[in-house]
Amino acid sequence: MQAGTDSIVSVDDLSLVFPTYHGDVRALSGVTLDVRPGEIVGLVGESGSGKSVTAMSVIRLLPPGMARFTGGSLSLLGHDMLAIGERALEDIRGKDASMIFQEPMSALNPTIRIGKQIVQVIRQHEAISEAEAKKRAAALLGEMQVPDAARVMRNYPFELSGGMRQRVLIAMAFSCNPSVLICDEPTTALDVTVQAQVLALIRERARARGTAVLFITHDLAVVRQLCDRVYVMYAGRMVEEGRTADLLAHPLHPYTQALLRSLPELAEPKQPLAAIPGTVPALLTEIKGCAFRWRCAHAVARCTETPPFVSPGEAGHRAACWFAGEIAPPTPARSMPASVAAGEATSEALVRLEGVEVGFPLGRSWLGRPKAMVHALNGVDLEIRAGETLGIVGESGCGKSTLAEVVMALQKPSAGRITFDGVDLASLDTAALRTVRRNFQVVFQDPQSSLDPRMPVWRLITEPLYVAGERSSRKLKARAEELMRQVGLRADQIGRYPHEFSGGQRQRIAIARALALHPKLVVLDEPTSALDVSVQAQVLNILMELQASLGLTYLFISHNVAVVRHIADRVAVMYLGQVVELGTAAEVLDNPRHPYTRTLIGAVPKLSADTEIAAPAAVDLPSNVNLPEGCFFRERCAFKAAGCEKPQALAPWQESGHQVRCHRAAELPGWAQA
Amino acid sequence: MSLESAEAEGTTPARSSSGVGYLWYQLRRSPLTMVGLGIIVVVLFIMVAAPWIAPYNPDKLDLLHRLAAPSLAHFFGTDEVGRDIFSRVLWGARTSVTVGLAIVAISMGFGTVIGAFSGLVGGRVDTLIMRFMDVVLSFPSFVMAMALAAALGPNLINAMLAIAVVRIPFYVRLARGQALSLRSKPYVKAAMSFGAPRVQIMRRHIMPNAMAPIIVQATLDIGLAILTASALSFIGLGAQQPTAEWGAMVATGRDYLLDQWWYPTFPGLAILITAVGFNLLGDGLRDMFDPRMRGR
Amino acid sequence: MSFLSIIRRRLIFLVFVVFGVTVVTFVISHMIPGDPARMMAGDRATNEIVENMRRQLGLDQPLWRQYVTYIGQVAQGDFGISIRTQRPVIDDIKRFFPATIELALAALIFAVAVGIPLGVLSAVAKDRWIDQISRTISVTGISTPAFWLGLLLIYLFYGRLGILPGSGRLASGIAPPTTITGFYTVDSLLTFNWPALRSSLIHLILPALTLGFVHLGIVTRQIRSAMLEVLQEDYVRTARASGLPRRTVLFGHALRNALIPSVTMIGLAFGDLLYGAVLTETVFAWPGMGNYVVQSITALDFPAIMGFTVVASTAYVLLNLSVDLVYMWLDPQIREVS
Repeated sequence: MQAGTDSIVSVDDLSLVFPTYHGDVRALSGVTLDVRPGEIVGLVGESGSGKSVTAMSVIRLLPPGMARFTGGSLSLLGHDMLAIGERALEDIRGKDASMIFQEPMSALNPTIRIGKQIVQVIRQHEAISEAEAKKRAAALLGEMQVPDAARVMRNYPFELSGGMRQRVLIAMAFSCNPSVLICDEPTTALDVTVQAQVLALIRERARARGTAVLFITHDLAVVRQLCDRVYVMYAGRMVEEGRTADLLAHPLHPYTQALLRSLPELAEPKQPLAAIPGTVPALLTEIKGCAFRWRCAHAVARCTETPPFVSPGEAGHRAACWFAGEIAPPTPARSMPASVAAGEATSEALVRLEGVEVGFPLGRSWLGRPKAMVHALNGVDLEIRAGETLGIVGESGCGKSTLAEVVMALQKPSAGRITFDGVDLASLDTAALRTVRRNFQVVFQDPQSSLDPRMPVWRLITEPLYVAGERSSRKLKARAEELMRQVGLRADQIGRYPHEFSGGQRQRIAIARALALHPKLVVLDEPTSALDVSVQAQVLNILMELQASLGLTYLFISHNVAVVRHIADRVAVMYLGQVVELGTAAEVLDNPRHPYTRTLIGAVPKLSADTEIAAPAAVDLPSNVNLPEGCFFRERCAFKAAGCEKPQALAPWQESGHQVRCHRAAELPGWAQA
Repeated sequence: MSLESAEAEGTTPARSSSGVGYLWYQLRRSPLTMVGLGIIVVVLFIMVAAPWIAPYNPDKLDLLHRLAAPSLAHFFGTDEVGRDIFSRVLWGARTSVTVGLAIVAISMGFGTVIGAFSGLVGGRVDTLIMRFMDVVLSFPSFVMAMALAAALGPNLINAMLAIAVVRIPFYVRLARGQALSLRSKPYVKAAMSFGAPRVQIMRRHIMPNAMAPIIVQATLDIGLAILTASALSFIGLGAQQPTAEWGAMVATGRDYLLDQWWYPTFPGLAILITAVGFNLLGDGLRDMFDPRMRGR
Repeated sequence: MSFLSIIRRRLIFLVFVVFGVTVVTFVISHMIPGDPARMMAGDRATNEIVENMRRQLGLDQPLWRQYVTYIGQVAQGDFGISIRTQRPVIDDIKRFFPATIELALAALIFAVAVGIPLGVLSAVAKDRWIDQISRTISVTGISTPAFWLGLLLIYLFYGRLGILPGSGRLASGIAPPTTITGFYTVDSLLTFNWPALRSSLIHLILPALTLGFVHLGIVTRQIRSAMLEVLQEDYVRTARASGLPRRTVLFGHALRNALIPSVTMIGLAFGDLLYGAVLTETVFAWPGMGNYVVQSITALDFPAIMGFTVVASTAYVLLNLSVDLVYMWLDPQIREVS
């Protein structure tokens, strides 16, 4: 695809470096990209691939001192963006090209009313009166399905939810009818149901207004749902480009192929994923040749020469690989290792929760009485069976992390009972509780902050042993080496510090630490959410292997339905501090009965489905300070009927162990999702 | 597959983001911090070497050369009893800087321990300690130090103690704030989940990680302490004649201001330059420890 | 938290502060070796007169009873009689307090008017020459001994150039203006007393510069670091991405938010100004509270010292209260909720 004159955005052979202490980081090396009128273009890559840098560069948003362009050209609507001055850039930004970002919570000025922030942008670029600008701002908010736009205009950002704020930002971005809208992971920080609403909104509005979109994301399924064309980046280079359907069905570049294979969506549940070995190169030295060759299964001597970005077959689908078109993606089907099959779940309960409730006081009056309560858990009955993986799925605020803390005995329930191996945790004194606690360990979401930066790895890994009274450095080191090998790290690196490891390696260190005391139960609190998909596959594989070889029980908490579907035996879906549906992973996630589960799963972007996802209505989650009466989901439910105003109980529907907290479970139509 | 495949060449950073090399890199990027460091090195050198580098005995009277203007014989001139002001300024570094360091050591030492204890114990004891500190922080601290110094008897040691005592609550707050914010870090939560006792968490995780901001604050405070101590001496509540102390020298020099400007000027300049040194270094350290600056 | 509950909390707090301050000064005043009764009675007084004086002052009572008596009097606004001036302490305070406030306000206006633009400039041009200059100014301000700077200014402008007065509030031939606020500048303006206005203004310049320079450093440093923090915020990026001009981004978006944390800092700095006044007033013979308290301390005049500390702490707590209220008013999240 040549950089046609009809392109709105045309990036040609662009290179850029970030000067750092370690030397110049070559963030972009010869990036080429075009956005044509009216099309939605995806830009995909893992962290550090340079996708956001590319997006920011298009409107020259990187601070001049931070980045240096070293070659290539960049034009937007015919302007030479590398030569243009700051004043001219101000006229282009927000008018010809506007941009929205990842964090809607912090992207609006907290001290200025919403209306004024939009009006300010409109009046910056167009000579119209305050009143007219206000009228247009209100109309824009209405167009973005913001309920009660007139009131929202007078609101401050803190009065709106994340989803609403992102709508405001989209309204602002569209306010001067830009030719291109650049979106940098605009839905990554949002819950999946809100993400579906925002994606649908961007798609519809861009189509209706004829605005081109450059959409940056790490999520191939989002690309599938939204984009006409897609670019794939790796290590600051463009590795593949093509029409979305072509590229995902017949990827040419080994990296794209490997990336797709590492997705749990496309793999058989409970089977090892085809992870990409190794990590992304650090870009501190100039890489000659293909940057993927160290991780590529097909690399040969020739790969040390830079491959051309060419199209082997049909026009418009090209890849930067010497063997583009010659390498067929191998079929993912692999024989299941015997060890994985050996992990057998029993029906014996290891941990049992009965009617567990947790409330947090919200503010205190000056007499020390809480003014209100946040109801984090509202009567949870659940058992975790020895040897199984119990998945917990839910959106933010559903209580899944509180559940983890309760199970870990880090948080005392305000009502209800928790038993471990038949022993009531509340009946134990501090010393006995400490002994029992050794049986459960935790792995947190962010390996960066869950490892003390000032300790060498061997001290980190053996901290539970140290706490338990082992003081001999020799013994601790020996155990650390053993654990490092167990999680697939090199035993000779136990003297290093956390910052010397990559994100995936740090998470393995955290897992090794959790295993130090031979626990029975490991609570995994979003263990792969901070990781890239290729690394996520590595970590999921390690977890499955360890479970099989050590007979571990997992409580696996995640907002990612595909990951839970892959690793869990049974699944509980949570909503407002309650379990609304419980059963095997296949029952709950492939054939959901509860209307909320259906909304949730329906909102997850699918790689395979050709149908565009239906956007649920724009409503905010009810508050867990003032709990709704009756069924908590009632106000958002499409199947609301008489009887819903009564509290619902978790009850088996039909004969199976599949339980649903809905009195209409049996009446609902069958689930038909491609 | 579980073993990391051979690490590609050039994939790991050549240098780590901690250690001496990194510190030196950060220092070089900030010329003002280098200036601060340079000043402190010089001042510390003068402190140690004063007896050898001072051209005169600081207490030697020379009534024939009273109130002499600066010259090659007396760089900063002489005072009302003919003592060499240059030598007295050099010797004054010993007094003034030692007092500054001592004040900070005392207030930081006590403050950090009390603050950490308060944060560790929590509950009612914590509330009580902190409310008490709030009250003390609302006292007019300089006046309190003045009153204390006056009541204890005007001398340098009492002035030093008075300033240090008044400064303690500040560190109590800082240390406790650090302890509390670290307590919510996932790695501390992880340690709690292993059942680690609180004292151990304090020692292994909180103390080492809390020290950086406290040390930065202490560095900035040394400048303030030197200023405050010299101010007490200036109003006659600190060092007394004939001690060579910068604030006291400015105080006596004040009477000769209009005719012998150099007399109060040079000791005051010494205070200014020393305080600038500690403030510049403190500012630089703060930027360096700022997590957002890491790796840049 | 509402405005009312903040006010209530601060007022309860004030009670503890006044209690604490009085206890500490009371204890200190009884640690001193001197005998106030003898001091008041004079050197040549007979033992009998001293005893009478002691009884009269209540010094023969047990310490706690003396304290209770004292607190009772303080509650009625009676701080006792100054040993040094022989006048009621409260009258002295009423006389000297406005002079100190006038000086501190003038210094604050100077520090804020110069410090805010300097801090913004410094943050925007981070690590460039203008930042280095502004940082040098602010670090010099923080590191300068105020008493020494005052002396230098007196030498230069009074001794050498002879263009500004070196001490006092008014030239000796000019009568103070009619008292309305106690600030000579404001009072002379209100009474159209031009000679007094001119004289009070030129007398204010050097002390205000001296006191203000230290705080200029504090304000500049605070604004710089708050701006640097705010400039990294996502909403600043949004504003830039929307094509808002640099000036609007800096002053309309960034400074607005940088000022919120700075209000607390600058408010507390004003509290320090009141104490910094002690040194400045000494150097410039400014007839304010600072001068008064230094002389009282030198004379071990404890009724005066205690009166001063109680008034100063109360002022400090009330200042904190008003800073809290301004902060709440600036931050919409707190303002709109309460």
